[in-house]
Amino acid sequence: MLATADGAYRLRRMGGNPFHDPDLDPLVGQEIVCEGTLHGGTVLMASWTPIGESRER
Amino acid sequence: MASIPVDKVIVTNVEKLKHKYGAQWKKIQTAIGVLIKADKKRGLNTLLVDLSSASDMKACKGKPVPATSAGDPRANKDAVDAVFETHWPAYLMLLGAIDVIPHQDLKNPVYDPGGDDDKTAWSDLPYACDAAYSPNARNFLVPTRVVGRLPDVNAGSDPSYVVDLLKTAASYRQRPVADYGPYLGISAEVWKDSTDLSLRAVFGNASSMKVAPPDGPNWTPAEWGALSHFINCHGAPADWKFYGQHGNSYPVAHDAKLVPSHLPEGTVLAAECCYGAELYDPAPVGGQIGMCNTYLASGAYAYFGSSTIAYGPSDTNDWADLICQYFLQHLRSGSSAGRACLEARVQYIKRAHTLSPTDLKTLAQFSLMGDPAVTPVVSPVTPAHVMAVGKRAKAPQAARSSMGQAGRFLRRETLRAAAKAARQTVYVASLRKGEDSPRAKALGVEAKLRAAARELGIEDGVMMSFPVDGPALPKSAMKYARAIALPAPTTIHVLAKRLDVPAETAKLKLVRGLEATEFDGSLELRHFVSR
Repeated sequence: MLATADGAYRLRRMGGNPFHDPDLDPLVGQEIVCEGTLHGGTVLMASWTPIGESRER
Repeated sequence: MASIPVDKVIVTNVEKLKHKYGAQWKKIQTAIGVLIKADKKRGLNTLLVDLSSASDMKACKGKPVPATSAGDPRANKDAVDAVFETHWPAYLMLLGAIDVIPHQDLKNPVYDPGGDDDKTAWSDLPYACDAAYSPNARNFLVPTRVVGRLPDVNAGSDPSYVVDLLKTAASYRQRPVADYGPYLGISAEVWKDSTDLSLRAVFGNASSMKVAPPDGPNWTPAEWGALSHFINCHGAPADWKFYGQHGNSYPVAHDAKLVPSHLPEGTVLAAECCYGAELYDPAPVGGQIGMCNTYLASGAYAYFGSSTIAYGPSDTNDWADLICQYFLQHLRSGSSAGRACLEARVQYIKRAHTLSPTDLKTLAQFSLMGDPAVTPVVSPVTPAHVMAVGKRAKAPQAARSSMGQAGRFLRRETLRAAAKAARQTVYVASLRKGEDSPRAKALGVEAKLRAAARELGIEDGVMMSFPVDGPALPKSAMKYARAIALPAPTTIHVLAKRLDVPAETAKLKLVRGLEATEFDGSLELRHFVSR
């Protein structure tokens, strides 16, 4: 889940498994900046960057 | 009232289609013309009604829906009602995805931000009902119209997709029911007992059931060759894949990218999966259309599925299991796809003594995608021989046509009467979440329910209580019920929770719950999990 000032959203990597996506596991507990589309309560992420790191997908 | 009987009405929003496709709209217009001609050969008088046209809507004493209002559920419901009441068609086809004619915005009775977070149970059910626009699913429990939606691609710009679907509808052919015996039946491993029952109910056996994991998503040509598909797996919003489950593993079971570009002509599918028929805009997910759009593009005749989170039990049959079974059973008995959808809805209502909040969501969320007039299976009833006599003797074709129309009209009226009767004898949960009644507290309902839930691994779920309205039973029945002090349902309690899952599966959107119908001192329990 992504906690934001507007509420909580589920995160999903575009094309990723919505139920279990190991690629997103490292993000648990991190603050991130992401780009994507909001679909209902889910953020479909095209890219993301943990704040303080320069990793981008 | 139209002077020439209309058997089938195609409603769409031409202004919106022109916005989407520009001058290429003419390709769609041509394909609609081909379908209308093909319908004519089958004895159906089909009419295109443009909801955005002032003249078309004036003829129906309705208000046009401009492209700027194409997404307005109330405007579209009012317009479709006006069209239906004018032409009283045997078949009503919505042409376009939800950006052309929207789903109706029924409130999800079991909405819970921490559990079932669908605020809306998007639905085509209200288009099948005479009741006026409302966001309350309770108002749409007398479905009487045969309705289906032939979608284009949501936010699409290439008309070839929907042109191909119109061609499929125009060129469809019927087959004997035996051709629909072989099936591709896919189940999440954790629900294989439930799916076994469903497949036996529809096909008489479960011997071909595929269980994921380990099966899927690469099916063999022979498996793809089955004309009937029944899928009981997980689904997710804006996703083109369905998922199996074993423990906390959710491997892909069925993938729209792997659907052959040409399925066997006449394939039909019922999918229990959450969001299994969601018509999402594919652009934000890299352009991949969903399972529903994909099947129809590959030549499927009918796709029956859910717009949102759907429910069923793990090892028995209820909710999504039942409505999907009913759809395929009626389709296999020779009903048109639209009539099979209507019969499934009516049967779902008829089989219940009380419609719970999750029942209301089930009824709302499942819709038919496909031309409702397409009748894949040859009816086992031998067509009656028509003998034209008297004035009709010189025009036997016209005699056959008018008798066909009369037959359809009478069959629809029979179903209409059955739907009204079903509604009159069923208790229904109120959409308003009532305060737990004092009597429920005295009986310790919540404590009992939480204890039962704990045994199923549901800890600290959110409890919602819904008052139940009783039907106006005949006096004689009421007298009998009072004489023997029959208990009646008074309240339905739903205890639901997003499943606790390990951190590595925190993206899960799975809900598990217990639903209890409270009678006088007793609780009737139903255990559900999201599909």
